[in-house]
Amino acid sequence: MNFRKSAILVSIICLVVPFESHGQETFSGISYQIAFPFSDTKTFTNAVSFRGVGLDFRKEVEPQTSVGISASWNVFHEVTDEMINLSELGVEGNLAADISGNQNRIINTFP
Amino acid sequence: MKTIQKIKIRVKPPLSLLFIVVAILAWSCYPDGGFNSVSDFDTVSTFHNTTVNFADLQTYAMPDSVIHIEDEEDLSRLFDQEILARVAANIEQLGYVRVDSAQADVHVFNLATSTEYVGSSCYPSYWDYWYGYPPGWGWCYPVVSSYTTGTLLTVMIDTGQPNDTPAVWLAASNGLLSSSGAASERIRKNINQAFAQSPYLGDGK
Repeated sequence: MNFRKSAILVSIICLVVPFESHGQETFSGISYQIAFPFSDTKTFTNAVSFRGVGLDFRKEVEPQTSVGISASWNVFHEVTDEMINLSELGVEGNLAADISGNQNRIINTFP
Repeated sequence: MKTIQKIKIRVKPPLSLLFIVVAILAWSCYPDGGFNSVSDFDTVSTFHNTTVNFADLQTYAMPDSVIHIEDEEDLSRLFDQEILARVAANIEQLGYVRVDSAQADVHVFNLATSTEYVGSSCYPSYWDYWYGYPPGWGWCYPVVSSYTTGTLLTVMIDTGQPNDTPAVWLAASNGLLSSSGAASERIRKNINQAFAQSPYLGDGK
């Protein structure tokens, strides 16, 4: 299944299926996430991530008070042929390198 | 007397199933890069000594054969002449003039290997490859790196430097020298790329 079909399917599921369910004590949820890169992440993969999923669990400890954990997974991906320049290599630091080729850059984040 | 009991909704089974579905979907759209052909994996690496003034280097000499390191049998010589012609064309386009080896400022060697080299390594003498050179001359792969199957190395040595001085410039094109139909195009493209990303070679010419 390619990415576009998967994204559409996940989106439809997100819209149709009531992901968050709860009893009187427990809340759980799944979310589809879109993420934007910034700072060093943007330098490495300058592309919006449409691959993301989040999980959320909460437990009611008192009325109107709950504690829980959240976890998410976002995948940033970019294919580039940008040249890599390295300098100050070698024992005496007088060597430089230039490397070209296709790069498949992927960052998996679990914030 | 009836008592009202809490009705607990068991959310775990359906959510677990949902997690699995989402995980499968996420995995199915995990990026693979879309690299479909062997040429997508080609890399061209060039290394140079930053203390060298390439404007001082005006002439070059080059053997008329590609050196196959350790005389490896699994490397084809089908493209040797094409490699030599392409390298010469690029060097001369930068302004170097081809002369006899005795008068040349730099010597350019083209080497093919299918052996994987990891780390910085030196060839203590290359005079075997070109009759007439005094023993003791050598060159090195100047940086820690890895060269894998079907690699073309183009090495430039400054003849005015002492023996065993590392090469002033080295280009490594990975993934070449296979017998695939696109090899000729890949060789042309990658050799051109090696010189395109080394504009300093043409300084002062």
